[in-house]
Amino acid sequence: MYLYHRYVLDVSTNKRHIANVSLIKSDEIRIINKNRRFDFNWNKEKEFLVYQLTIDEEDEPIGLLSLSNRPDDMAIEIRLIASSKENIGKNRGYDRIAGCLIAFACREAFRFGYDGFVCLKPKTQLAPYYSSKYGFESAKLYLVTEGDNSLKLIKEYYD
Amino acid sequence: MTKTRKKDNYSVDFATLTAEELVESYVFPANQPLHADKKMEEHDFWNRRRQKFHNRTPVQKMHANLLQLKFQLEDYISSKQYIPELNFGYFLHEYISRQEKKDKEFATEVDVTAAVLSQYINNHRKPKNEFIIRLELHSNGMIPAISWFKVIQKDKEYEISTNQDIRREESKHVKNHLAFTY
Repeated sequence: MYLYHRYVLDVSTNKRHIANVSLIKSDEIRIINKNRRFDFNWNKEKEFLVYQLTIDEEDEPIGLLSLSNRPDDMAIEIRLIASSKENIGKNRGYDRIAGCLIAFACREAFRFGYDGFVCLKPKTQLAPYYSSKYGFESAKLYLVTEGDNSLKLIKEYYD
Repeated sequence: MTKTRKKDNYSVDFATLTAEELVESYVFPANQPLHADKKMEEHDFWNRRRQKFHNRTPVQKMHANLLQLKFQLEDYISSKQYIPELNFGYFLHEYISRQEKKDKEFATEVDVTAAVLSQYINNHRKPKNEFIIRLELHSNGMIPAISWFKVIQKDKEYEISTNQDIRREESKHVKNHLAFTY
């Protein structure tokens, strides 16, 4: 366990649940993709770093993340994030899933020596909302978080 | 009590979700740029990124290097793996060298002699609690004392689990041990 734990919130009870993020392999991706509990085709991400977010209270993962480690660019690129379908929208069971995964990406970007540099390519109409919620800054094609904002995200999503 | 859900084969209708709900749950897959101007924009973005990274000030580099050390240390003490080289002395040496300080200078800053600091770095002496607290204070809380304590603890756990010599020596001091086997 980390000294500081990521946590998700049970929306109905407001109870915190420690969230574990672990790297998953091709065969696990295939099984998760087959279950169709997540949007998108995760088999397409097998060449990248795919992580699952799990909590003790649930048998199956509740979040997925695909990262591209770009050592030549000193950057982590978030390719894809999805909460499981029962955790989306007004009737979601758990909150903070995507935030925990973004904070994890930021932490990895520090751990690799990239000064917390994480980027993603947003859908144009969602860019201002990622900026508002997670502090990403716009760099035209990409949204970027680094340095102090990435640290802020880590502190926000870790206990 | 764990919850086992049925397979959820329905498709989420993104159009029914607000923008806030979408960013709370997704980062959507991006299309690769098809047009030359977009490809050039992407090329320029990465050029600017590399340039910015290489043009960091010495202070920025040091801060980034220390944060890297912090998270590497935390990951190591959280892992089940034991790596003898990743001991207290190693992380202490890294903490000092990433500040580009000489050992003697750092020893003065935490009020120990250079000789004592050398013993800590070379794992010839276990640090006292007071020294660990000074490390936390020196880092302004970036690396808390508990992190230093846990790496020392990890070394100790390994030592106590594997030291057969001490078991042979201490068996001379034990009588009437339990007959139960485990």
